[in-house]
Amino acid sequence: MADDRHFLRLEVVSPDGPVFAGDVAMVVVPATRGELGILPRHAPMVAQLTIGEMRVKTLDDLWIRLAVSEGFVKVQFDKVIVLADAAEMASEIDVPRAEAALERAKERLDMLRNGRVPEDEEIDHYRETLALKRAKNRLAVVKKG
Amino acid sequence: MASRRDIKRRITSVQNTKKITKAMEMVAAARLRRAQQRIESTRPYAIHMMEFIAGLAKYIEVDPERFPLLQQHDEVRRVALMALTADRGLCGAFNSNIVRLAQERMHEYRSQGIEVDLVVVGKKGAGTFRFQNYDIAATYAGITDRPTFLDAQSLAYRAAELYTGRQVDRVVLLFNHFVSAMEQRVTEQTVLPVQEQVVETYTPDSAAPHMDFLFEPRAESILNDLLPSYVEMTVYRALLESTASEHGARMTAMRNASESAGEMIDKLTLAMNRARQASITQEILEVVAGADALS
Repeated sequence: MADDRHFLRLEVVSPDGPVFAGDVAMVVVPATRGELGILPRHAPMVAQLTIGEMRVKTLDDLWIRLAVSEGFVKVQFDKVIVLADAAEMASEIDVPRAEAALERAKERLDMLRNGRVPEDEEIDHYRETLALKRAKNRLAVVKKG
Repeated sequence: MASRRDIKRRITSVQNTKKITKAMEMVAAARLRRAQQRIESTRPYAIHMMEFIAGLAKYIEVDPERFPLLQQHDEVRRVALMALTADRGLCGAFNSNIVRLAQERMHEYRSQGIEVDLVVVGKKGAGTFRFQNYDIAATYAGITDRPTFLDAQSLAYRAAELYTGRQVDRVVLLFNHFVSAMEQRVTEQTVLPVQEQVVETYTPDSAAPHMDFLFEPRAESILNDLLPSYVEMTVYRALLESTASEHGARMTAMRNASESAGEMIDKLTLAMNRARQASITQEILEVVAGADALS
């Protein structure tokens, strides 16, 4: 075909800043209804993402993996924009830190459940549930690699 | 007149205070820089998010009735005021400005017969309101030092829950907007209902109207999820702005404190020299008078 574009421009952005930007061959994202593979010249699309693992095939045929939380993806003109509540490259995940976060969230949820919240602390159920889910996801992504 | 030793003791004490304020100023300056960077790094996300929302709004009839966060409540009976203060003091009028604005707004709303739910972020604000016997609906401590998106999400979630559950009819954020280290502007922002111009006015160049997008799942459900994210982002930015303002205010306050300490040291040194000179003169007089008496 006359079209010589064989790559996608990918940008992964979290509220704390850009996580990844570069030209890639393929992107696989965890959409709400299952994984979604995106190749160059994909039709324009907007999809909702769920927490999970995102995989990126680079132009050198290597796979990069990322842990992403809920978010959205937009595909248009071979440009893929991923907006995620949190996103980290698998290679950059700090395992001890993720484990500590997991333990902390578990502990705090336990305190809340048993009504043993210390006097000077306030525990938000929603926040801890999210923290728990994210820590679990990060660890799951790291362990797969 | 104070004795030389007294003055000396005071000088030492002021010098020590100056060391502390100087150190605090430097710490605040470093933290301010980091806080500013964090505001900066949220920008790409915020811009993309606005594009998403604006883009989606083109494809579907945005009927506020179907999006609880967009829907205006017919009658405003109860307002949630979220006041962002700091966990720590020594930052000039930073906390008291917010507290004052919150009190003004509360009285205004009450005089219109509207009830107010007060949500306070930061120990300082919570302490002041509690001391003045205000009813506080909820307090959050320990997040203003280094706010995370998770913190913003839980605040936004709480706000959205109150709003969609019709427990409140409006959610307003009060926070210090960061202008510069010298200037923080007290800002009032309506978070819920999501202001319609958000959906209407922002139109990126790239959102070509003729493009046919696929939506996964449906456009409406995506927008329904984007709106809470938008609220989270608004709260997150306000938290970051507030943190940057806090450090800026503390830096300025501490710089002023260091300067006045310096001035005070100068004055005290002068007084001490005078006292010394006076005592020397006194001694000479005594010696001369003694010599006179002998001759």
